[in-house]
Amino acid sequence: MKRRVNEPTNQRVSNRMYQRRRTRATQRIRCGTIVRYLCDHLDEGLNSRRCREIRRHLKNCPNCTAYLDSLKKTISLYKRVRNPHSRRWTKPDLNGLLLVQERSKK
Amino acid sequence: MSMQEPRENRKIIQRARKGDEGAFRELVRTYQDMVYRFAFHVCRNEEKAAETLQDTFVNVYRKLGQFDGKSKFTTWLYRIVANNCLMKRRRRKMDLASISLSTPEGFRNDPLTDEDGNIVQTVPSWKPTPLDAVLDAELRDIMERAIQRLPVEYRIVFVLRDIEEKTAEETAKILKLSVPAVKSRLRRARMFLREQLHGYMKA
Repeated sequence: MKRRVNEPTNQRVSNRMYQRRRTRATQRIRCGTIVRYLCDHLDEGLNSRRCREIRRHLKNCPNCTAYLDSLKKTISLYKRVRNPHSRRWTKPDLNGLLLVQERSKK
Repeated sequence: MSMQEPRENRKIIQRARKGDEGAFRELVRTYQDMVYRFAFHVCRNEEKAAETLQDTFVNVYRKLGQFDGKSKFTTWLYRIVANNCLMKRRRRKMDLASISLSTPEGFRNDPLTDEDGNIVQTVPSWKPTPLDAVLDAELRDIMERAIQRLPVEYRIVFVLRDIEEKTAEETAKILKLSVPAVKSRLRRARMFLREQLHGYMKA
């Protein structure tokens, strides 16, 4: 009986400890370092110790995750706003180009 | 010639170097899309991109004899396009230092935590990006203005790394910069563009 009464409290304590440990692990690398690092190595999927730490940090830090998401969206928007392939464009006037070259040779 | 170059390309380049017009045409046909796409992403202007395309191939025709083949042909070609884009930029005071990068909104180096120790989100999330068809005029306008404000030196690095998906090492080789310089420019460009869009994109 006694055990049952204590269980939820123990559970809460261990949850707290787990959360604290998790927060500490997340904070081992500071968010400032993460932002700098994300900007340098976005999507490179490296497997160094530092990269593993960063992935761990990202799992528990909604701020860095939101930042990473916004960086990815920035790149995607850059690609999509006025994509040159969506328009017809003038191919180089090769004959004109070669003619100019010929003239400049003479 | 670099062994990374496909054998077929090596032959065409060698023939073009010897003055074979057909081989030169073949080179233009092979690389014109790449050159135009890169020039467009840097200039953001169809007319200027088409002009850069012409100028680039004029340069290639003139300088092909100087291509020593130690690097890949595309590395050499990207370098010519980048130089043409740099020459076309609006003449203005060098503005490399003018990109001010403030701390992102809601960003804290010591994040807030709730009573359970979970980190509280203070950096606003972004809205899902709209589909092409509904990319509204305001967003296009904001993006275009942001790109125009980004100095060409940074834009070139951003386009090579994030649009053309070159590695930092390749980008450094193309631009004759050090790898740390490429990384620094890329970081600033990404942060700057993100900052410019943030007001519109935050949920």
